[in-house]
Amino acid sequence: MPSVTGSSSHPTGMGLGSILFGPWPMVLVGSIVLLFQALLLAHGGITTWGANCFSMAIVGAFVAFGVFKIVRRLGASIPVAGFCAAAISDLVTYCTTATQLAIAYPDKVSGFWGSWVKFMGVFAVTQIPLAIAEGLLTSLVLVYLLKYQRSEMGSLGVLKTGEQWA
Amino acid sequence: MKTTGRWTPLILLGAVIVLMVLPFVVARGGDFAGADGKAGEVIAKVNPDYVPWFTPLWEPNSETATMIFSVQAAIGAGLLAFGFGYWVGRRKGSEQSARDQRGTDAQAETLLTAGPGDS
Repeated sequence: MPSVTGSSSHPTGMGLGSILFGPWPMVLVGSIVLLFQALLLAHGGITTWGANCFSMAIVGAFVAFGVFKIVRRLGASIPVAGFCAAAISDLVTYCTTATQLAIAYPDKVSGFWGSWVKFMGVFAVTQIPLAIAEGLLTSLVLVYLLKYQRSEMGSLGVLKTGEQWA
Repeated sequence: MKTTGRWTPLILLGAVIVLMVLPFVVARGGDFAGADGKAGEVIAKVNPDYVPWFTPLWEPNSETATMIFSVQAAIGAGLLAFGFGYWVGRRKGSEQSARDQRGTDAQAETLLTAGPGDS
């Protein structure tokens, strides 16, 4: 997906998955996706697989799950909480990547923080509009799931029995 | 609190489309290369001595890579559309059969109340 910085990046899908299935299954699913992309697309890479699994599959999944729970407890509807969870999880994933790169490649003059600012400039800024887009799409899918798949949402534990979602 | 009206999906989709089109207006002339590549340039800047020590076992050329990414997205979109199409159809079907059922019940009731003894 293109972004306002004139470069491109991806949504991660961890938000929707974690809301529906919980964070643990998504750690596994995300890791498999990253392995496939590394092997079939030379995207991400085998030597960096662990680092990518951490930023996307682990941090992404748990941030999404946590944000969803917190925002729900604050009384927001499922689609609104889903938007927050997906957008924040997507953004935090890329901030984690920037942090990892800054640890691996500290600037010779300004050290870790100097490097961190540069990597954040690349990833976080590019990611902001994409995170919002992922949040909106997650929200949309949740609206439809709640409309047409109420009973399944109930059995997944997203919706409690008799609970109003809107 | 009624949060999802008829127009909600359209508004959400519209906002996503705006977010996708806006970059081409704001960053006109950008090459829209991947942010990971941009990060590679930053690495070269902060540590000019760094030499990548591992090369991918197999790397598609950039057009093939774009194609594979598109196929990936298309499969995802296809599955999503199939799933929702199926569910919408299933609900319509069950509503229809519920209506038919009510119709049959009402008919049966009329027949029962207006039994042979009344006529």
